[in-house]
Amino acid sequence: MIRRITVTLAGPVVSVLLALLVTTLFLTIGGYSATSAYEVMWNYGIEPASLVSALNNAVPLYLAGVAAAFALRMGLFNIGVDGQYRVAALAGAVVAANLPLPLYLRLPITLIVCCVTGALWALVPALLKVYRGVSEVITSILMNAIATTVVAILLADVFRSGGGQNTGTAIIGDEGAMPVLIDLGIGNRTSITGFLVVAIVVGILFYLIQYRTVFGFTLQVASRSPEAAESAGIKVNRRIIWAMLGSGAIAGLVGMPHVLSTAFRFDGTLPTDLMFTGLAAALLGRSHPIGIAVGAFILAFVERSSQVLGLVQLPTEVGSVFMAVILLSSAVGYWLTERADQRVALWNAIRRRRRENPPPAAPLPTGMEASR
Amino acid sequence: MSETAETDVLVRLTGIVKRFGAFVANDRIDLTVRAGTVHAIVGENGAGKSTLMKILAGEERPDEGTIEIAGSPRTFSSPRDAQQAGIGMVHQHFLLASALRVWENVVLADEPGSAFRLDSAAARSRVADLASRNGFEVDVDAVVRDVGVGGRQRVEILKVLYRDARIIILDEPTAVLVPSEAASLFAAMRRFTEAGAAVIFISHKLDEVLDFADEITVIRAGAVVGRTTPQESSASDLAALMVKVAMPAVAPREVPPGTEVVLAAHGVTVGEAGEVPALDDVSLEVHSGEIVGIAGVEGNGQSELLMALLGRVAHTGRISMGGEDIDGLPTETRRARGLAYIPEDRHRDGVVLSMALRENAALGYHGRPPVKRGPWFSRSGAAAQARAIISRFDVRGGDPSTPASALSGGNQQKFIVGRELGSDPRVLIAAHPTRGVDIGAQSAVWSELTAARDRGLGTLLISADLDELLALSDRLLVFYRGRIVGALDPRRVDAQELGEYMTGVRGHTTNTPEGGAA
Repeated sequence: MIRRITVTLAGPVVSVLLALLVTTLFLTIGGYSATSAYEVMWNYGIEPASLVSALNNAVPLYLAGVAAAFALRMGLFNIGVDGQYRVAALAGAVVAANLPLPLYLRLPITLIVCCVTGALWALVPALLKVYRGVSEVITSILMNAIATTVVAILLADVFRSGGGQNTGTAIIGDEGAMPVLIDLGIGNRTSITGFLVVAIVVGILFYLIQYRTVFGFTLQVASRSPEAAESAGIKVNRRIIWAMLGSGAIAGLVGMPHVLSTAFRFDGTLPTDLMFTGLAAALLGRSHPIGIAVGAFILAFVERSSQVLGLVQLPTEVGSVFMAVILLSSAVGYWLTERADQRVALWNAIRRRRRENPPPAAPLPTGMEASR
Repeated sequence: MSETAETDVLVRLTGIVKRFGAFVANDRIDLTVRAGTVHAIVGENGAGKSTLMKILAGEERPDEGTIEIAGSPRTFSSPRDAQQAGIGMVHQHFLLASALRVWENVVLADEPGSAFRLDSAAARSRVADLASRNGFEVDVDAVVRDVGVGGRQRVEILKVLYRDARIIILDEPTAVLVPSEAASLFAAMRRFTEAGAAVIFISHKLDEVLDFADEITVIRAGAVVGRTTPQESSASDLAALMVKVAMPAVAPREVPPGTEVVLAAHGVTVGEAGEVPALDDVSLEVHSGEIVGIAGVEGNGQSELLMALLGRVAHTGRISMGGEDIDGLPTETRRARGLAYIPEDRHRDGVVLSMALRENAALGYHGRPPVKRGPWFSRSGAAAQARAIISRFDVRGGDPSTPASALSGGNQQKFIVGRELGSDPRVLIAAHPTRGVDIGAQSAVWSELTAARDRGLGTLLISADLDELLALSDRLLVFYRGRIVGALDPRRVDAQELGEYMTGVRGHTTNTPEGGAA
C-alpha cells in the first residue's frame, strides 16, 4: 500500500523536479539568477491574494483535466474540450442572463444546459468514431474549429446585446451569477468562487462513476480489452459514446467560472485554450481526481506567481516554460518511476531469494528468475 | 516433362528443427521438392506445416537444419533473401493493401523506374502481361478493396510470379475459394510446374490433395510421418496418418442425459454477402445434461458458430435457449439467462491480463449480484467470487488482487473455467477448455465439466483435442467447410473414420446428419 502511494506520488514529483531543472537552466543560460527568481515567485505566490487567485484559476483547469481524464480512462483522447466548453459557455451565458427564475433554480439549470451542450458537441466525434471509424482526435479538433465559427456567428447575429462596440451577450445579474463561496476580505479580490464547490462535486462524481460503479468497470474492460468486453456482454461502441458524452458534459462546465464569476457575460475575454493546461493536470495527476486537483493547483500557482517576474526585470515566460516542461516530463516522470519501481521489485526478489537460500550462489540470475 | 526435370531437386530441407519456447513446432523435418512437381504437405492444424513453410520463405529462422535451393546451401535472414533465391509464398490470409490498385499491389517494393520515379506505365503493362500469360482474369486497374476473394488470391500469386519465383508456396489456398475457383487455381498451378517451377501447397483437404499433388508429405506433431504419392495411397490411409488418437478410456456416465432441449440452432448461417459462408446452414440441438462435441479442423466454421451463439456476429437462421428465441437478444441478456462461455483464446476474450483476478471474476457477471449492488461495483463481492473460484478450482499463484497476467496459462484457464461453471449456468459453450494446460489441470477441468453435466448442464464442446472430444462427448458432430458433415457416436467411432470426416473424405454436405431429436 505504502509502495503504491509512493509510486503514484513519485511521478508528479519527478515531473516537477525536472521542470524546475530545465527552468533553472533556461534562467542561468539567459544570465539571470535562478534562485532569486524562485524566491521572488515563491514570496509572491504565497501571498493570500495570489493563493486565492491560484485556487480560482485552478478550478477551470481542474474541470478541463477531469473532462479529459473521463475519456482517457476509456482510452479516448478528447482533444475537443476547448470547442465543447466554448459552445457550452455561450449557451450557459444566454440561459443565465435570460431565464426568468430565482437563483436556486436558474443556476442549476444553467449548469445542466452547459453539460448537455458540451455533451452534444462531444457526441459528434463519438458517433463518427463508432459508425465511421474516424479517429476522435481528428474529429474533435475539427469540432473545435467549427465551434469557433459557430460561436462567432451566434454572438454576432443572435445573442449580441446592444450594438456598436459591444461584442458580448447580455450582462448576467445577481439572480444568474455564481455566488461567492467565501470572501476572505483581506484586500481586494480575495473571494473564493462558488465553482470550487462545483469542482469538488464533479471530482467526487468522477471518482464514484469511474472507480466505484459497474459502469466504470465496464469502461475499464472495454478500454483494456474490447474483445473480452464484447464476450462478457459489454457493448464497446456504447461505452465509447458514453465516455465521450461524460467527457463533453464535464467539459461544458470549464468556461462557466469565467462567465458566471468573472465576466458575467459571454464575450471575447473567455480564455480559449484551457484544455492543454487541463490535460497537463490530468497527466500530472494520472487521471485520478485527487491527483488532477494537485496538478491543477500547481499549474495555476506557477502561472500566477510567474506574473510577478516582470516587475523585477525577469522574463515572465519562465511560467510558460515551466508548464511546457511539466507537460513533457509528466510522461518521462512516469517512465522513470515505473522503471525504478520494477528495479525495487527486482532487488526485493533478490533479497528474499538470498534470505531463503543463505549461501549466495549466483545471486543475480536467480533473483531475476524469482521476480518473473 | 524431361527426365532431368523429374530428378532436378529444387528444394532440399534437412533436419529442420524449430522451437517456440518449450514447444517443438518442427522436429528434424526432411523435405525434398523437385522441379516440375506439385508437392502437398498435409497435416492437422498445429502440426507444423505453416512453420516449416515460413522457414523456407525466410520468415522464420530454423534452430537447426539446412536449406538447399537448387543444390546450393542457403541461409535466409529475411523474406527478401528467400525471394532472391526464387521462393514466393502466398499466405492463407492475404497481405494486400486494400486501398491500392491491383498492379500497384503487385509491384509494391519492387517498382520499376528509379528511386524517385515510379514508371507506372511499364509497371502496369508488365502486370497486365503477366496476368494474361498465366490466364488470370483480373482487372489490373481495379482497387483491391473491390476485388473478390478469388481475385485477391490471384493478385497474391501475381506478386509471387512478378518476382520470378521458381518455388511457389501456397498456404491452404482453397480455404476461401468456391470449387470452380479452386479448379482454376489448380490448373494455374499445373502451368507453373510445366514451366519448370515447383509448387508446394499446404492443405488438410485430402480430396484435392489426391487430385492435384504429385507427391505428398504428411506431418503430425512437428514430424514427418509419411511420404507418398496419390497413386500409392488413398484418402483413408492419409487420414489415418494425419489423425492419431490414443482411444481414451471413457468413464461410463451414471446420470442419463435429459430430454429438454436447452440450446438449439436452426439453419444458422454466418458470412459476408458474396463470399462462401464461413458457417453454412448449421442446425444442432443440445439437451440438458448432455455434452455435444464439435470436431473439425480449425477454421471450418467453429469460431463463427461460437460468435453466433454468443450474439456477437450477424447471422441468419434461428437460435433458441430453453425453447425461447434469443436471436434478437444482445450478448449481455443471453449471458444473464444462463449462457456461460469458455473462449477459444483466453488472452483475447477470456481474461483482461492487466486487471486483478477480482475484476476478472466479475467479467461477464458484472450485471448481477454479488458483483452489482445497485449501480455500484462491489469490490468485496467480486473478491469473494474470485476467492471462491481460486479455492474450488485450485487456481495457484495468486489472490484476488493479483493481476491475471501473473498467473500461468493453465491457472488462467482454470480460473476461466471456474468463473463460468461457478455461476450455475444452463448452457455452456466451451471452446478448447484445456488448450495449453498441463495434465493435472486438464483432468481437473474434465471432472468439473462432467460433474456439471451430471447436474444438468447442457454443454457444446468445441475442441481440437480429439482425446478430449471422445472422452467427454455424448454425441459428436463433425464440421467441414462450415457445415455439419457427420454425426457420430464417440463410443464407437475410430480415429480413422473421424479423420476422414474431418478432412472431407467422407460425409458429403448434402445429408443433414443432425443427431438429436428433430
